[in-house]
Amino acid sequence: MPDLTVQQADELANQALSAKVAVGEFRNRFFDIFTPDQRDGLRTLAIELGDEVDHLTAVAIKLSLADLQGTMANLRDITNGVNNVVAHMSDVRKVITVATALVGLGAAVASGSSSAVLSALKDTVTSIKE
Amino acid sequence: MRVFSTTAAHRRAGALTALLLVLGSCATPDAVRQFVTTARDATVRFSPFVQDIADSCVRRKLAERPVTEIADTAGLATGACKENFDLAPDLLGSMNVLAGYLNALNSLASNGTVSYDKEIDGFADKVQSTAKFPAPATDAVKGLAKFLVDAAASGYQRKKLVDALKKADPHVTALTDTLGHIIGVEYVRDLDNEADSLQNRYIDAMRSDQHNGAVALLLQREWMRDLATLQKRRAAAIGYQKVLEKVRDGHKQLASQAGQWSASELAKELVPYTASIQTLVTSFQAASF
Repeated sequence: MPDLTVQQADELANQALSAKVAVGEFRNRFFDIFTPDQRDGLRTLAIELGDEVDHLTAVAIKLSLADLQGTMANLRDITNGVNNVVAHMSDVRKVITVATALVGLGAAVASGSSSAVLSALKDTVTSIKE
Repeated sequence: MRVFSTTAAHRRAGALTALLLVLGSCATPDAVRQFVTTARDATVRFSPFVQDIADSCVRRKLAERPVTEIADTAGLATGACKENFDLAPDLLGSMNVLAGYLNALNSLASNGTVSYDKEIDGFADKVQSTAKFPAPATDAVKGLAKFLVDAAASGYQRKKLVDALKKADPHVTALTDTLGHIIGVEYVRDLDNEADSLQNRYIDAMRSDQHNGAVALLLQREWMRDLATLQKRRAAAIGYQKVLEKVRDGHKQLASQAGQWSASELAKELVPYTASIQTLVTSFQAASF
């Protein structure tokens, strides 16, 4: 992990926590339309994000400072996008698309591959913005 | 007669000045003693927060287990929180160094000599900076420990108090800032993290029993009770960060005025810090750990 300032570490942890809360609300809000695998996948992603809040290592350890800044921006976009879906979305297909992307993000984090995580973050942002 | 009166007046004025000097020299250390002992006593309240950093992580990991699981997963949860458990000795050791330094100030202000817990030497030698306990704090620990070694070895007297305050002030600032951030920002965020996991657990449990009103009522009560406990701890942690800020600011005030103290002014400056620390400590004592 690059040497982060206290402010950068705080920002990353805060972003991870906000994303975790958003994913949890998303799962709860649309629970009935998800498959069991999607429910589990979303739960796994929330747990992984919660671990990042605490340790800031699992994902961050292999990323460069530039990647970390991109990661924070992507997390912010994901949080805002998911919150927006929770608040306004009525299109089930869109909800499922977002859920699929989030589950993929969880799988990427679990893989421990930094390139997989960076790619999944971008894919998730794209699917939310579509 | 007139000459006699003038002489008498001079004598009275001289006596009054001497009295004021005596009073002043007593009042100055009194204000210092009161501040440093109050600050030192507040450091004792630190350990429950440190313990709960790791405990909060364990509770969160347990809350993230499936609601329907019947298994002893405490070992898994504890293992997942190893980093938090590993942090505790460094935090407690660092606060012990700060308490030792405040004790030393109290001794100097009381015309005593400095003695300290020798474990501080070993701790200061081995403490290393980490992502969670960065270099400014470990440097501060080493700096304050060095002061204690020098003060004890050289038999510092009260006249050294001014030097001690000035030299140690950057270390006190760095250490109280880091420890305050760990408790008032990072631990508070951990509690929010825990609260979110707990809420999702209760929602999952509620969902599985959504047609049973009695169970739902009990779950709701349990959740509110758990949430209230976390909120108390959260408020206490923020209060403790403020205590450390008062210790830092009070010490800075002392250091900045060292050597040019007027007893009454110093007391006026220090009393609010001392009183604030006492009030804050009293207000967060109600938090249940």
